[in-house]
Amino acid sequence: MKNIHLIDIDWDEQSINEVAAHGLYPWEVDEAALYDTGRQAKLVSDDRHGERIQVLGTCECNGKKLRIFIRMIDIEMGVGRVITAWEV
Amino acid sequence: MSEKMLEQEAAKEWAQGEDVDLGPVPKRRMSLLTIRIDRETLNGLIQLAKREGTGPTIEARKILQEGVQARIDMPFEATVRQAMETAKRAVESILENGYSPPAITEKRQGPAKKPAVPAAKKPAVKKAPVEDAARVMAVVKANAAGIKLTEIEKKTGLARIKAARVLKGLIDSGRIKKDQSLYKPF
Repeated sequence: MKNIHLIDIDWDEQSINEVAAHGLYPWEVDEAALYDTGRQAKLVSDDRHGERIQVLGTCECNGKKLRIFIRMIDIEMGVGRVITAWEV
Repeated sequence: MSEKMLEQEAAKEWAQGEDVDLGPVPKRRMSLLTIRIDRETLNGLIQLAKREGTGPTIEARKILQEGVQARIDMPFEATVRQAMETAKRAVESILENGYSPPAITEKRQGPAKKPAVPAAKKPAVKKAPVEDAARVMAVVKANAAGIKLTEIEKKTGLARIKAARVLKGLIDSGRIKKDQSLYKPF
């Protein structure tokens, strides 16, 4: 098992727009990716997108189960950026 | 690509992916705050974030946290102390060098001016209002459960009307609150 600590998510316009296109708010993704104690994660990669983390987590406030794709922008500080996310 | 296909592809990837331990859930839970800023500031923030090697929201949060902390860390007492130091230096300078008022160019009409009092014999400088406020604040802080005006009057040695005026100022500035007849620190 690989250890990649995810402590924070940095939101830029692109990632906010991307999750909005799937009907999600950044805070829902934050809850599922950062604060869900039962979150699961896998390191996935393909030729098109390269290496990224796929997280399955639940948003505490509304119970939405989300699939979130994250690219780490600062591994040392545990900061990632959301590539996309949607409700499973 | 449809959402269904996306989900199928993601699930397939998930099955092939390597397990990752994301570490413990952060203890300090963050709340979300949405703010509107102009494009110029946002661009500046993005540039700053790039320079720091982070993202714009992380940088914005850092700036906010530092700013808020700096304001919280500058307690009322420190502000008062700073003002008192400035006043003390000014008084010392006057006592040492004398006070020469700025030259008046226009000829004043009215009664003749009293002769100037030599600097050394000047009456003692009255206690600055900031000092009164600091004394009242200290007494209120020492009585977290609340203290009455009469007690404040006794403990600070201030006249009731003066103590009440200082208390009103402290309430207006949000330093203390009044609960019925008791004054309490915030």
